[in-house]
Amino acid sequence: MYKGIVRVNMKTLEITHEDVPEKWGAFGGRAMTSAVLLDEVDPLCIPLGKNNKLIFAPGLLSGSSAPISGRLSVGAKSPLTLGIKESNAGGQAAQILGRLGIRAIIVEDKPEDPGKFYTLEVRAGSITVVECPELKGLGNYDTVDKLMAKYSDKKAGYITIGQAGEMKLLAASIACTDRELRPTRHAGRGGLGAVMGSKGLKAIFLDDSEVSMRQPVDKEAFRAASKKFAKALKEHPVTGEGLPTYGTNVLMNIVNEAGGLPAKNFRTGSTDCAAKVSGEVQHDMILERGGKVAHGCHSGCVIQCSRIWNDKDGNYLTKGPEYETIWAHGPNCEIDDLDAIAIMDRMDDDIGLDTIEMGATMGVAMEAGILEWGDADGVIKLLEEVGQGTPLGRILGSGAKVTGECYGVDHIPVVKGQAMPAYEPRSIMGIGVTYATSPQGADHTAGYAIATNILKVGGFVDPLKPEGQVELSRNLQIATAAIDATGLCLFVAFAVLDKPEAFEAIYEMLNGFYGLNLGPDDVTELGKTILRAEVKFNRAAGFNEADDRLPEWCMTEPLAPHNTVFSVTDDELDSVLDFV
Amino acid sequence: MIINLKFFASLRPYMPGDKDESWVDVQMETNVGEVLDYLKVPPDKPKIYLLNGVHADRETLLKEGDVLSVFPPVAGG
Ligand code: SF4
Repeated sequence: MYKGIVRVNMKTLEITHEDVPEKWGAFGGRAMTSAVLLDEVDPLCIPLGKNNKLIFAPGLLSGSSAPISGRLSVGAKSPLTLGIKESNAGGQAAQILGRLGIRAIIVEDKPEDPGKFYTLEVRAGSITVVECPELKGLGNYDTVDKLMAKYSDKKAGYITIGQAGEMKLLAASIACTDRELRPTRHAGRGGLGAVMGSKGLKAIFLDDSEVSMRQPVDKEAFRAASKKFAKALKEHPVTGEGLPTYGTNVLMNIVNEAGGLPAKNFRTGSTDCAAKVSGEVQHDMILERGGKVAHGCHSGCVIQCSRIWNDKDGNYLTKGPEYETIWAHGPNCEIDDLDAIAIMDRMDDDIGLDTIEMGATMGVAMEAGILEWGDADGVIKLLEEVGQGTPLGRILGSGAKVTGECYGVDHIPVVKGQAMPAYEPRSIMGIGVTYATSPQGADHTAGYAIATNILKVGGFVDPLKPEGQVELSRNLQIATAAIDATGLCLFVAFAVLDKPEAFEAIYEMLNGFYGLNLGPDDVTELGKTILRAEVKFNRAAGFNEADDRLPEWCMTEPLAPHNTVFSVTDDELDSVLDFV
Repeated sequence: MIINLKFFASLRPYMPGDKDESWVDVQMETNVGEVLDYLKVPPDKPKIYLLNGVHADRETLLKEGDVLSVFPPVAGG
């Protein structure tokens, strides 16, 4: 078992081990990454420079038998938003890190020779850095194939970057392998793949074959709380039935019917494309082709929203794809062909790109006239260019903002430089508040107001009116930050919002595992502590109120079909995180 | 009067004629719940009713040309 904190210096290739300092003692996941960044990284540093740090932190419960607790937080100053970033990923990495006793890997400095790439080998008995020239220039799939041949194709995990990360493109993601050792689970948002590339870190091999599950301090209490939690998740119709059956893309129809689906680069709130790429259609196609519904992205997931997508011949092509990806590359670009979208998803995963950012970028590219609306073949060709690093490919791979600015587009859907995801802030105003005010930039997961605005989970707040949205977003942002510290998948929130016993079980699992005595207020306080750190970092990085705003057209151009504009006032937006 | 009815996800099997949507002729003053009862949709199955894209409930009255979209509990992200 390691001491908790592992530091990897990419200039000297030295590895040091430290106990977790007391100030970070209660932190995991996003709480850990954001605390390390605030304490150790100059907010004014150049994101791709030697003074930025890249942090991998499993959640507090990762590596234990707590249900669905294997989410990984990756943190750094973002080259895309220029603010603090926590990007959250599934896959096996967090479970393995947790079992190895690692609370955070902090990657520091960068190699003197920018052409060199390294693999970090993390085993129970040793951690080493080795050069890996053979992986240079490879996509994530080939990288993982080569790593499996060298290390293990069994009980292991890999964290890798593709060509986009090596080229330090702003939309570059970090891939984590799933249970089948495929690089399909990405810390997508905020360009953290570029930070990993800037550090010359191509891959991390994680091996927990010689360690067992983490053991709780109070076995009985932990077991009882875990059981209670799993039961609540199974009983809730969304986490127990809806998500496993139809996956995240079940949202396509409902968001479209509600007039909240950003179509054609956020020009309208619904489109005929949606029905052709819906979760229901996807579900039927997956089953017809021998793919898999109800698949878990990591061991211990009891919701299983993931799926395996096979091509027309019945051969594995990619996971999911997820709702966000299908929206971004689909209705956002007037594309209604699920097979084409699945190819794009596979390419994004392989090149190592955030699917949301890339889909939004393609929408902007269509707006700019680089290609026609609905041109799926054109998108695939452009993605190839990103992987090859052509001049146009590098512009596109740098995201929606850079692409729009290079081509004089005045309708760029970003906040703090990051592309808005699959919900229109003009007709779902709660999510607009989250996009505007989250320290992470436009990020639906930071305060998922769709639950209450559209899905009637956790009550109902009318999406078409400004009333109640500030409080909704604030409470969700606090709760989300806390969940992101535990390693639990955010999708547990659907049950937690409706079932008091699911919320209780979260702090009871923490209490049982660590021998603590936390109550509901401590969970809220943890969420607030995280947000305080993130806002503080961003302010020191130069952010102010003006950065907490949506693009101007959200307030001035009414959106069909409801013909609404985003009408939460600036003063109200400034009050969202008033506790910091 | 004619309304456009759409069922989604696990409610799809309740749509007459093995389709995802249909146009049904209902009497004036019919509400959302009455149409669904007529189609034998168990009242505990639907959760979200969108009438012309706006959240409604079982008591909401229908009018000519309305689009009624009905969903079971769903979520994603
Ligand atoms: S619910 Fe979905 S995203 Fe969450 S851990 Fe399970 S498979 Fe992964």
